[in-house]
Amino acid sequence: MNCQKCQEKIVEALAAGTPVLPPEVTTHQKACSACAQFYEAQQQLFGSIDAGLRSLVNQLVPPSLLPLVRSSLQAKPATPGAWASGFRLAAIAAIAILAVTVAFVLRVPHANSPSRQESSVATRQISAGLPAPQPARQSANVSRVDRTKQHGTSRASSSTPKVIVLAEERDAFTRFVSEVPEAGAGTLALAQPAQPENDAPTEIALLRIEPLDVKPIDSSSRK
Amino acid sequence: MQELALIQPGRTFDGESLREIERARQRREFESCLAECGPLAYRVAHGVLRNSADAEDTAQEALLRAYQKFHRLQDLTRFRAWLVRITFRLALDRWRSARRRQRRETEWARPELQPPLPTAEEVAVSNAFQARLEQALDELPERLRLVLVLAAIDGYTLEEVAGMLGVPVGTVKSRLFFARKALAEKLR
Repeated sequence: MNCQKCQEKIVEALAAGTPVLPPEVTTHQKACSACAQFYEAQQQLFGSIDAGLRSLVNQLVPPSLLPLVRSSLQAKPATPGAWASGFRLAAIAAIAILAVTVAFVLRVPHANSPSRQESSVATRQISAGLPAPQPARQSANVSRVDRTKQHGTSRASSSTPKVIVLAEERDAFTRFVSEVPEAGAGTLALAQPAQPENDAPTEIALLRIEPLDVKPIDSSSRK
Repeated sequence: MQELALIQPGRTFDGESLREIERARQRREFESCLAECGPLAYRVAHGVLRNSADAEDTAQEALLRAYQKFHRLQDLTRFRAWLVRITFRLALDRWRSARRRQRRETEWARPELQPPLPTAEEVAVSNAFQARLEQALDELPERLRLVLVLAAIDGYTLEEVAGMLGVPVGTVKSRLFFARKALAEKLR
């Protein structure tokens, strides 16, 4: 064993707190005075470290520590106190605000959506066996009249669509339905634009489209 | 231990009474832990801060924090380890902020207003080795520093230190070995 190896072993043994050195180190130390001196110096160093740490840590505890803590305990509860109940209130308020906001956000686009406005027109179209027209502003009057007269019964969901017609319009509507072609050769159009504030029934007329004559474009005419 | 409560005849236990009884029980349990672990908190804090007043403040703060969260502690045998961790964290925070403040003041202070450097004789008179040891201790990683401090406290075996840290005894021994070796290298 050389001196460097021996000194490493000495440091490791002292750092590990092992009281007895390995036998090969003891043998080398007896023959090498430098390593014996190194061992003495390291033993002193580790002894000083231990003593320094002990004096650093094992200080007398001030007698005021525990009474001070005990007096502070009187003021502070162990269980969650006022801050916790405050936090709970804040959480409930936040949830309530969130719920109201979500309800408002979900309700607003639904109220203005065109699907709701066209519902009454679509109802008429289903019973008439015709393709549904484009949702138009004019149809709003019709649906509003129906809803106001029937006190909301038109909103009731039903598997078979119903047509709600005013009593004075009943004959006209029957005549209108009987005139509608079966195969959808025509489409419905509103005869006059309705004003939003006008609740009068809208007049619906049948629009006829003549068959178109489709011809291929002459190649010579393009030149 | 059985809990006894004195109630007036005809009085029933409502929610508030039960909470009061629970608070009183927790208080008694904490007080029994306090007598045993209060000095330990102080010594851990002193091992980091090396100042009696700061260590006392830190130990007091750690004990109060432990009391406020005491109802969350399910296993009472873990109280000591729990308190040691709280104290060590608080002490480290305080030590870091003190070091930052000291550095800032040193940078801003004018050199001509600084006190004269101590002479060689003064250094020899004051415990120079202790100062170097403390500086070397500050430079160690936290986990090595904590294990050194705990192992140096009188009355605690390595098994108890392992229990406080929640690690096996072999880990404590290995950390102690590296910590002591690092200290010796710095002080050599």
